[in-house]
Amino acid sequence: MANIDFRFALEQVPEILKGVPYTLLVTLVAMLVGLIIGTILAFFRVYRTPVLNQLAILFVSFFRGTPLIVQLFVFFYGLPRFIMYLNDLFGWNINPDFMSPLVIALIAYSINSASYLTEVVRSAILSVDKGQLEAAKSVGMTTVQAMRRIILPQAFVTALPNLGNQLIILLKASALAFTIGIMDVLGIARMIANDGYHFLETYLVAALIYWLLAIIFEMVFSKMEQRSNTFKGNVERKAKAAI
Amino acid sequence: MLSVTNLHKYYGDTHVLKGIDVEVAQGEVLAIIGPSGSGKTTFLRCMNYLETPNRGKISINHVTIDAENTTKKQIHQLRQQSSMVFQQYHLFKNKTAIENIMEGLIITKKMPNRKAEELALSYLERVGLKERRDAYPSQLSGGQEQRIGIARALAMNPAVILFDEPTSALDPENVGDILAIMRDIANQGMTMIIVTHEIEFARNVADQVIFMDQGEIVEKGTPEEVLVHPTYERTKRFLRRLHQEPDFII
Ligand SMILES: Nc1ncnc2c1ncn2[C@@H]1O[C@H](COP(=O)(O)OP(=O)(O)OP(=O)(O)O)[C@@H](O)[C@H]1O
Ligand SMILES: [Mg+2]
Repeated sequence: MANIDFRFALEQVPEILKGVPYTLLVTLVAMLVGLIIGTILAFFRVYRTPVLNQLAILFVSFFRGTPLIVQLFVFFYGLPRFIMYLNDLFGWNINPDFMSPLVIALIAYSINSASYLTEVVRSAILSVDKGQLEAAKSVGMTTVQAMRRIILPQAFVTALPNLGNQLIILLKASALAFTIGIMDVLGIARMIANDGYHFLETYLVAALIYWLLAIIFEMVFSKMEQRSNTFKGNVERKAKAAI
Repeated sequence: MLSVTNLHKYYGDTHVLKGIDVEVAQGEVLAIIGPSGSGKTTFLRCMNYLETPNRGKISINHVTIDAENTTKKQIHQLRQQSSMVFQQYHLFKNKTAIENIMEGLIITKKMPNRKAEELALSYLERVGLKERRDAYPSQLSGGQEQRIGIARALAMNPAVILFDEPTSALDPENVGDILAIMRDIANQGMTMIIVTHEIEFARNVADQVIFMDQGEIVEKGTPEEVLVHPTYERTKRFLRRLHQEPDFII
């Protein structure tokens, strides 16, 4: 502990920073794709669509109930085989190699985050006052139009704090991607650490980089929450009036 | 212009509307009074299919719907014949005052943005809130919110406007404003159905008054007949109790 080689640590920063694009790519793609899939599944849940609702419940239960690292391994070994299986089945000729570790990581993280975001979006939709949908219908909107223009924008604001949390959880979870060979921040740090036997220094640098990214994400979300406060204030004012 | 025949509504086993018959002529104002739980709100909500009736016919302005045999398209058409003003306003919280009015014009009436904005502005002016056009509902008082709610309903240019106790969520000092606006709209010939506890207002503005109790129409007639010289004991008791109550409870 006494002799941390600061100079070595400093020298490694530029190298480790090269992992940032991969860390960000995995995190942001998983967030975005997860949000899209999660929103679709949330609708199946809210409207209790027969069969699809049950499948969504099963999906959420499985991907929230198994360790992410196990999911990564299953996808890593399973996806290429799945492609080959499809080739056999339909006589296709897809090269399973396009399933690079990066593509596999993007798929695995997206699906994993979709399972969490389904519940986030579902509860946010349910939190929107039923009167909003009725008012939309009373001016002639269809349910789909009402969802897109009135309900989802309000649900999104309610969900913002949870979405922010999810993004930071994803950022940290993305570090597991090194296990299938992704050269993200941790992937590079591990390589340097192993080569130079400076474990502590390199991992400290990696930690600081993750922390910095998390702070940036938090700042972005708190800005978004501030901006949306104009119409969120409603809830608080009404609550006060009721007291 | 508007007629309802033998309308029934059940919630599970509860028979909430037990065969309602109503006729409203063009430009007429119908006031509905009755004790809590008598089915007034349910009746209004059935009129634009926010609630699905089990039996009966609703006909507004050449759109006729038979509850036992409806299509999505019919419901959509019927809905466009009426606008609703809610007790709790239900303004779109993510839209400004003017956007609240424009929303239906743009989405349902497919009006170009500029034209919708112009029209919305004229309705804002009509309810005296032109200078609050860019305020969000959270920045408006209850009375202002309800004025926007009325402007939103008016802008759709419906055959009939349905009001569900539009003043009962308001502070007493705001009630008069809203009633004045409603009287104004009535005077300009709008057909209106109003559920209200404001007996004075009903007496002065309505052409027809209905007293409902336990899912039935007990008494129907002119304001004079129903509110001043009611025939049935149930009506008399209801009105007596209403007069005993203070204007608001502290
Ligand atoms: N969604 C619902 N599910 C089950 N029962 C309901 C539902 N909505 C209303 N009811 C019942 O239907 C009856 C009529 O209710 P409704 O709201 O139409 O009465 P109301 O005359 O508007 O009363 P108030 O003056 O209190 O507004 C009540 O007994 C109520 O409990
Ligand atoms: Mg009611």
